[in-house]
Amino acid sequence: MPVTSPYYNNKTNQSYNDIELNNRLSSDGVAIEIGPFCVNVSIKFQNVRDEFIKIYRDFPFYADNVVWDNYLKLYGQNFYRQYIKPQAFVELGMSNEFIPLPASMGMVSLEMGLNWHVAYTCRQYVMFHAGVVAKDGVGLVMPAMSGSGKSTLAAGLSYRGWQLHSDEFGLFDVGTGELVPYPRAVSLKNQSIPVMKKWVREVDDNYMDYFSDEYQGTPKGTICYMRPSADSIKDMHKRTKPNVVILPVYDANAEPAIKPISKTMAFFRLVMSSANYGDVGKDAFLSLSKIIDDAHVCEIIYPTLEDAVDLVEKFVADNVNQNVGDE
Amino acid sequence: MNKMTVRNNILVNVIKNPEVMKGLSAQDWNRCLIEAKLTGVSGRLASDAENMGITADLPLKVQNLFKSFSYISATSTRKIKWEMNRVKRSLHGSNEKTIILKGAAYITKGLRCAEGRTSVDLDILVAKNRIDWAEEKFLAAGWKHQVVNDYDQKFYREYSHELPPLVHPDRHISIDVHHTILPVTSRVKPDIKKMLESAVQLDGGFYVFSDIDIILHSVVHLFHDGEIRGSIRNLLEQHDMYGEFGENQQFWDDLIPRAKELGLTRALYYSLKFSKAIFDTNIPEQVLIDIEPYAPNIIIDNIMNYMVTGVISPSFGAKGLGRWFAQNGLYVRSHWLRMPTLLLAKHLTIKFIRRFSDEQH
Repeated sequence: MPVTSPYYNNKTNQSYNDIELNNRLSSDGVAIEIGPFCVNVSIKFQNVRDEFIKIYRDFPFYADNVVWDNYLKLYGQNFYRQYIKPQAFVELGMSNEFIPLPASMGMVSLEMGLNWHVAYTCRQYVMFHAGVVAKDGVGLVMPAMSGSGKSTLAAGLSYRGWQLHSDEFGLFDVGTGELVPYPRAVSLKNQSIPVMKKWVREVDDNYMDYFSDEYQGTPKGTICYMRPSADSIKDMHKRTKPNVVILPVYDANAEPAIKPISKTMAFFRLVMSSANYGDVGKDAFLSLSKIIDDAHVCEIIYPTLEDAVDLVEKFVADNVNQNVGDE
Repeated sequence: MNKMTVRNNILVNVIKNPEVMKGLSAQDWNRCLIEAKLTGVSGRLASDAENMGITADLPLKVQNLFKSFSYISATSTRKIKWEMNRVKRSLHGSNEKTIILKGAAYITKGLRCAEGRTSVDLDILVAKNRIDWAEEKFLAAGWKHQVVNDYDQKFYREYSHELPPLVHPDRHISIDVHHTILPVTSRVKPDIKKMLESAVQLDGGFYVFSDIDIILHSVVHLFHDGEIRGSIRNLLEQHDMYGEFGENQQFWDDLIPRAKELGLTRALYYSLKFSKAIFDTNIPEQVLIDIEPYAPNIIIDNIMNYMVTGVISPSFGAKGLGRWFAQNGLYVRSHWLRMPTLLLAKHLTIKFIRRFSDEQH
């Protein structure tokens, strides 16, 4: 089922099988569209291509008939780094200040490269370091620092009926007042990896197909990438207005609780989470003020993913008149 | 002026005539945008499209990217303006001239070349006898030295034309405080006193060089002091200024005499020649004739043609070994112009040794 892109009105994406994808990735690259961004990706290592195809094969791909946002090349910088002691170098057409990783961790380099592309070039949307999900007209933004469990929570919700926008790049369109989905692979770290594997197994016996290898010894510990749910990929151009802001706080020893917070506090937490607040300037200030004005806000404290999902659903059910977006 | 060729280049075509954007294929756009980003002119494309009223005719993806580029240049302009405000505040109380250079001057004067431009640092110039005073003021106001390596600090102070760059930790914009426009060790030594004398005051209290001196400073920066590789943006700003200042015939009458007075005729020759060749700049025939005597000999002229048109933008001319030669040739040339041979040897040796020490990754 092809995803129709609002950016490429009359151009249909290609349905490549794995072999064709592999061939294109190893040569000139292939343009993959994830939400509002389209990046031409080429990869010179077989192990990384295999992982990339496993995680992203259901996304729309284009031949060379569309304008890209950027390109990304992953390769060894010379013969030694390609074949003898392979090291994955990322090129993004701007400054290249990445520290190359061993090719066995090439998937990590690739994901970091895609993060870098968004973080340093995206100014057309206000960006939040936040987990964002949506369901039936509810747009939920969960701004948080790394380690608060927002990735796990967003991913968890996305396998319980919510649409995953992103586990760390919330995007807001200033012009339309909507959240823009950007459903990249979810980056799971350390203890959240077994939690999510168990979580997905409860809905699909073939759960291992959703996960990449586990990459140990990265700067952030062990990392594993998880494919967004099929519906999140299918709906990746479906936008929702934000109307709930929840600040998630993970505490293994706490009693699950919903705590009220002031709108002022929620506003400042949203500002702090915004990576391009100062770069978008006045429009970002106005947008964030409007989001908080219109949103129901709270903090949740949770010891487990189950608790967190329950708290979120409870807060939403108690406060938001659902289906508001479907009239 | 001998003939040279710049192959049909999409980015240059788009800059020369933004209407071209309407007919670009997806592949053309991808090539054009990559090159524009690498050379720092993407904001310029967005503002050109806006000015021509053709943004709505472009592919949706391009419109979306242009929105981002516009935010980036608008933010850069805002930050530079605020940094100027902070600088003015720190240097308050002196009646001597503080000159703003390059991007800050273009922005404040509202020049065409400031549209869609991004600047990462703020360049100012004060008379040499005020530079220690200015440094003290900045440090007292919270700016910090960015360069902490002793050799680099010493090198800036003894041989360069500016203080080691200062950065305010809250704002992350580097300010370069100059006392002249070329390193003191340069083979060419323009008389900065003359440039200071003809500087003019703007509303904000800062001074800028006269129009001709502004161009000559850009020219010197590109063809004497800076790196030519990938610097098509600098040539473009010269092209813009020739167009803007050149509407007044007096500008053309005074240009070469002023370059002569400051000893910058060779650099001006290159600027006029490459601007004309690449952007087809509207330069009076008489000016092109009058600058010809300042050309280098034919061999150097041809080598420079090859090197400059080969590397001033990433997709231009030279490939492989030729590109390597052109890049390194220009690197050596810029250092050659910047300092005497013995000092150059010493400097390059220290830099070379440092590449293998622990200091850098």
